[in-house]
Amino acid sequence: MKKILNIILLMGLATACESYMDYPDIRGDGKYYLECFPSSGPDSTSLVLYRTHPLNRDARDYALAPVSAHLLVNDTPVAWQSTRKDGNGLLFSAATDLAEGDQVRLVVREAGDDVVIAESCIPSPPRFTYRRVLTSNWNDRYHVLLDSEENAGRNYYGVRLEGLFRYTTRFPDGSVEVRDAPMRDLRYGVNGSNDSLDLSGKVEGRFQSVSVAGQKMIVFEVDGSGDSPYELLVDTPNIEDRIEWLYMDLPSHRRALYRLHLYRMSPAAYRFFVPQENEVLSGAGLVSPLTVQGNLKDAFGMVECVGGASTEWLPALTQEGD
Amino acid sequence: MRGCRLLFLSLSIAGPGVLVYAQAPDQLDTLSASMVVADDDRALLSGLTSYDGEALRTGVTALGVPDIVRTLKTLSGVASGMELTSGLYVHGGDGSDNLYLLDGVPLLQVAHLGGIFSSFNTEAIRSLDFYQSGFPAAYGGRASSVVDISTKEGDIRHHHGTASMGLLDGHFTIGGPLPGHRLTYYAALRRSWPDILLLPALSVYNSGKDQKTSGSYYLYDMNVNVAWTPGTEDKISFRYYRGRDKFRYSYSSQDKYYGKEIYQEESFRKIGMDWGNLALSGEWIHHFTRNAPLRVLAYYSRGASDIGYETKEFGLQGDALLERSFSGGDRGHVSLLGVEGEQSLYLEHHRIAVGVDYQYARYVHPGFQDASHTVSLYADDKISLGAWTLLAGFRLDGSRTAQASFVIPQPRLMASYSWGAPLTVNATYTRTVQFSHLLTSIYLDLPTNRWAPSSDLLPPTDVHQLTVGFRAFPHPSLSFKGEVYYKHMDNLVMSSNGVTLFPSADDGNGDYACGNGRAYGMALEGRYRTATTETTLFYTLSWSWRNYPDIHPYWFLDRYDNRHKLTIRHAWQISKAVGLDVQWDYHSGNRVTLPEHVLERPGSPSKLLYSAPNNMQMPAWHRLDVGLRVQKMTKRGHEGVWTFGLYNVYCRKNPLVLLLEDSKQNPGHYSLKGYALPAIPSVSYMIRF
Repeated sequence: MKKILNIILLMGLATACESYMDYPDIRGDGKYYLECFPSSGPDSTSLVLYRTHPLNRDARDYALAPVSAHLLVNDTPVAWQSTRKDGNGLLFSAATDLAEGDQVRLVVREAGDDVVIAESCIPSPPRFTYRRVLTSNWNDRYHVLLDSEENAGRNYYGVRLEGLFRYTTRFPDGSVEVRDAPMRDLRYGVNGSNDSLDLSGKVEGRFQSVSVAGQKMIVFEVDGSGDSPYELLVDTPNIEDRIEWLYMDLPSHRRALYRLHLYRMSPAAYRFFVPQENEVLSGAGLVSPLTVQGNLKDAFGMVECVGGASTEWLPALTQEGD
Repeated sequence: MRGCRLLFLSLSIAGPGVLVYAQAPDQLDTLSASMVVADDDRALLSGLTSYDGEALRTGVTALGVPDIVRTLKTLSGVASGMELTSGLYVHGGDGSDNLYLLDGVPLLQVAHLGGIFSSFNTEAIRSLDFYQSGFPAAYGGRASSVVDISTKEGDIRHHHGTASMGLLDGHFTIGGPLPGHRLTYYAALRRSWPDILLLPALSVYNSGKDQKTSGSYYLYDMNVNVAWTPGTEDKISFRYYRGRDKFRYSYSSQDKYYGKEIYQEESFRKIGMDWGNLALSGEWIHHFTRNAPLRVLAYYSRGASDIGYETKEFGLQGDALLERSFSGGDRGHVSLLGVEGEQSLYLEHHRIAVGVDYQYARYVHPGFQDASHTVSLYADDKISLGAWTLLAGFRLDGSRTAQASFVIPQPRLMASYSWGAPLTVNATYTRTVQFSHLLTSIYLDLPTNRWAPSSDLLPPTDVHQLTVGFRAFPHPSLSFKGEVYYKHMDNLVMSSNGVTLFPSADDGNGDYACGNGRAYGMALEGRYRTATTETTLFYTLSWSWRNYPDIHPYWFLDRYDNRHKLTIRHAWQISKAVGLDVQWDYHSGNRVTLPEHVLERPGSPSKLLYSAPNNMQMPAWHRLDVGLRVQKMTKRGHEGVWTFGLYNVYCRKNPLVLLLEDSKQNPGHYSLKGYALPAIPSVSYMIRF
């Protein structure tokens, strides 16, 4: 049905004459761009920090100046575990163990001045139960059932599946070595069992894959319109146990383990991940000027806590079931 | 004596207020004539502009179609909005906050064709009052302005009519006496005909093709008034208004599919949209005495839309032909049922009006139903104390839905001081409240836009406005009017969930953000008149701000924050038969949202970043329009009027739309492509009989 809108616009444009104009000259410095989503639970907090440049200016003239970032939880500084440079940006990572209600403060300093200050509070984690089944097409399927309280009004979530391979090696002397290696490029898909079609066409975009600190996350909204609690289906290919040879002549047993994370996020954070801007209509001034490109003063990006809840590490399913 | 009419005047003097009753000899026994009131408290208001119907029909017109909303948009204090649309943005308002009354009946859908034409046939209009400030207590339900339109009634003795034909539309009106005692009728019909013009073009386009495209669009509106004047004390009127838009589009294709066998099937896509208004009303005016009229109005008003679509497609899966069909619709309406009663009393130093209104509103949209009951009590007293005139008004609105209820008092105060005829200054304070919200994500008058009642999540829009103004008549041919205003708006509503053609009417979904606004500025009007010319100048200096914390953490400028706006209009009656109208409009550019910064990350596409809503200003906008009227008597003695118009005479490319274009020669560099309307000639012919 969006075609109707295009037809209306085309009818208008067909009667119009075309002209070109220079883009307004945007002066001033580049701005900082931050992404940081501290989460409850024992997890790491990552920060990406970049420098933007004004449109139609050369990016090389707007290099990142020497800058420091400071993370404080309930006014207690947290040390970054690692910092590395990525082009015109910096990546920070810190181990955090945050709980609901914790106050998180992030300060970026340049030449001794606080240039960006962001504060946020850890919200309550989402409440859910889950079960797992092995599907006929050989997928491990998580049936994640949100509690009925989550069905009140519109809520926004992110879901992430984390995987690792656990190698268990028994040495001839009887000792056992357990070694974990994170799975790279873990494939998983998400669907809703009770998604209802609506005319707005939003259903096709209900699940959006986004990247948070380099990791894939799927964000979605639940409009609370269903009569029953919302059920989320997360599928990942089943990986059977097998023997690998980490040591010469010594077999290692490899088992796949998964952990599912579910995050509650604010509407602003969701819209940051799933921007609603329509460049054509915004340029015409015909739509609401949605510019939820962050919650930072004098900077782009978003620093916002999310409420996280995770399952235990669970082994891949076998034919015998969970 | 053509052009002149003999009027019998009777004057009722009550303090400084003068009521003038004007009656034409052919209407001596109709009370309708006594509606021409030149009560002087109206002239004190700098925020009121009144028109008679003739003034709305003359002057320059866009596309040859006179339009009241486009006329009002030229006034100072009103933003121009988007070119060729009928949105009315008064003192920083958002366009959905204007009370449109057609003979006292509120209308919901006030535009045809996405806002290009307003719903009012100017030929049927007798008079129009437009309030930007100083709202009398009798008006309520909308927050920013009042457009109070009165339509014509039939002549008691003779039949009169008009017929016109223009490039885009035509109209026919007729009115006169009905058999029976003191009964008159008036009917007006307007219809557009792009569909008729499109028919042969599509026929040529489709000839010899397997794919057929068809489309049509037309609008019509109809006004019918019947008035009965049983005696000098009473008048009873029944009025009917119907305005509709109809849009059809279909595409069909005959295709062959080579599967197990050769299949030949017809696939198609069809869309149909109907939308518009219906208004029915009955009004009784009774004069207990000449100074104590009672007015009772009962009405039904309905704005409805009906959209349907159907698709049938075929495709091969292996050797088998699969059919996929899809159909759906979107049907909704808002219906208003109301009763109003007002008793006025004219005393020596007071003019008192007391009234009570009740309105039942029912909102029906896909997946959403609600209803509201609104009761309003109001009282106005105009007190005349020498050079001082005070207007003390108070309105109390109570509105209730199943989920929420609101009771909001609204003081309406005005004071003026007059230094005789040459100069009057006034100050007003008004509070206005709106209990329903227009829910849309696209700023066009689309049939899919929803109205919904206020709720706990989207409380009533609440507006406080202060004005200080003056009216000056330094010379009989020269007049000035000015006003400075400050307006604060609470609980404005904006879509916060992206663009959709079918917005949700359920505010609980979180699709809408609630915000505030403030607007301030100065509006000036100057007028110079001679026997054959009239030059008018309207100037506005204004600021308009918005604050939607869910959208953006700080205040930002509104899309129609036009710092300067200027209209110069010159009308010259060159001879008895020929009149020339020239109008030049200028305003600072509207504001749009365009990216300002770029983020470049290794391995990722560039990300365009916006620093704030409405962060860019379009180029300044200006345009010259010219209209020429030539009157000529027909062989049968009727008056014929040719109207020629040229819109955008010097073809200024005022961009309607700005699109971001990435330079192919210089990747990473952007320019703006704009689309503008060229010069457009128009012609129409009208005959009066």
